[in-house]
Amino acid sequence: MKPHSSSKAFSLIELLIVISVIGILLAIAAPNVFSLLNAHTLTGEGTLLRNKLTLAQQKALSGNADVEFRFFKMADLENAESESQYRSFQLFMHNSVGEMEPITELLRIKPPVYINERMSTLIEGGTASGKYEVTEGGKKVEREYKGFRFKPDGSTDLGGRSSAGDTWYVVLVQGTENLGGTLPNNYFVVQLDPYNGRVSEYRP
Amino acid sequence: MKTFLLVRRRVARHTAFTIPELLVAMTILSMLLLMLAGMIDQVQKAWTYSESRVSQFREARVAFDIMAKNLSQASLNSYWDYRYETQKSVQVPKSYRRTADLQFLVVDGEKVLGKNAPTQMLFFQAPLGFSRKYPSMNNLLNGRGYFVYFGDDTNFKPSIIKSVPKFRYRLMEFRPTTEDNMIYQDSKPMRDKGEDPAFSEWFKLGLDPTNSKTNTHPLADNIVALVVTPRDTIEEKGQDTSSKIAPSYEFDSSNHVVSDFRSQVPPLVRLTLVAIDETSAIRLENGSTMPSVVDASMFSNSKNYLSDIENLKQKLSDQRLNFKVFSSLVAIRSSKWSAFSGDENN
Repeated sequence: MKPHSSSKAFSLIELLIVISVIGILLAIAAPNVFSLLNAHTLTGEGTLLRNKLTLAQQKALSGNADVEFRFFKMADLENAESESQYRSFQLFMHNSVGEMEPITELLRIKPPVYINERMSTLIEGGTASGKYEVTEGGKKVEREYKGFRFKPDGSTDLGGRSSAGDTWYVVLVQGTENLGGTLPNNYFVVQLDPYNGRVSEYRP
Repeated sequence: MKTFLLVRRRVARHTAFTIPELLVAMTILSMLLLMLAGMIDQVQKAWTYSESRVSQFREARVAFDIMAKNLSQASLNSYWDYRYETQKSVQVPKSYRRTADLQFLVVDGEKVLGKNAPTQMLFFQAPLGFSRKYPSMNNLLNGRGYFVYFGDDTNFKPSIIKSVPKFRYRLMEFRPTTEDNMIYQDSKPMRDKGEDPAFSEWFKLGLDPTNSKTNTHPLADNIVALVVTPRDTIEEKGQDTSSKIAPSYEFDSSNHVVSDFRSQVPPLVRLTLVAIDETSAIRLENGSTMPSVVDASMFSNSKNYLSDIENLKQKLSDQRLNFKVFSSLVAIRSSKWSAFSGDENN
């Protein structure tokens, strides 16, 4: 005897229901997954900045020379028309003829992670500033920078801030909407002690 | 009837899964999921473990290097001078001996800052050139100090961060500027009177480790012990770690009783740092209560240095804490050690 034909395959209705259920589940999960990925990039960029600050201090200590940490104001790499912001940094070291020589390549904080300039005291209060020719999108362009120096004993030339308890820090956030004056829910703050050059990080 | 039933059963078997089939499938699925979750958990743990280990001990290593580098420049600028009878109208030299206006000090932390400062504190003077007004003068004299302190980070974190205070053992650095160096303040009137300089307060000025506006800043988190052993040139021989010049670790170059090391910097200093990682510190954390790490009996006699270190390591591993011991023998360049210090009758 032949089995009933309808029990051999899924009906269109059944398939539609299954697909829509999968769709609903994906729709619920997607924002979470995206924010997780973004949080991961924030951590990545923050750790990069933190590591390079430590590297600068160690270079100054081991090379017994000043190391300058410069933040460069430039446009977004993908969108040349975008507003110039402090998005990149590079390390420079005093060479034997007394000039500042780059010791790393130009490193970029990649969108959607941004430096919140308004809250970053380390950029606002930098002791060095000027213009330097960097390569941007294959072309050489002069860009504004602000920075500070690590001294050979591992300290910095920043000095203390007047307000109680505050030291120097850079605030990294994700998304341009978080570039205001308040700290968003997700942040990565890299703090620098001006006296002993200690780098520490703060995350929610 | 019989055939009908048989057919029904066969049809039923083909159209749907039976409960046992479903159960078996679900069990296998859940077992697979459990295994997967376990694996992800393991990877996650290994990642956090190595990450915190690397970053934590990197900070400790940098701090250790900075400390050793600065300590190796410690100086006393000692000189030879007459010592006069005091309070006599006729000034007759009593003796001719080595003296110094600076001080090198290793002291039990609890004596200075109470029980929140376990193990030793190290204070010295060195030409480190840290000045507010004259940043380009690289050889200005500075006081410098290192010690371990248990406290919270409220005053040291950026004011925009509103997190719960983190209570940790920290390696603190006392670093007054040249302008704040009060080393001569106490000794001058005494030297004018022909007495030996007495040092008491220079290293306490702005020492308060709970206030960020003072001269003390954290250098590294999660350092649970700083052991400083001043040594003379005789090297450590195997198990014998006793230090002749600092049997109880304590050393004061202005000490007038032990003439052997009066006004001298020790030629060698064994620096030992014990660091734990952040994950371990979180495990130890108990609000503002100081978790017991170094027993009071430890590091009070330099003869027991090795066994104390072993005991501490054992204690930390018993609590399943991740730790690292940094140790190095630092040579002080300006030391011109000699057992003869002038008069022998003090």
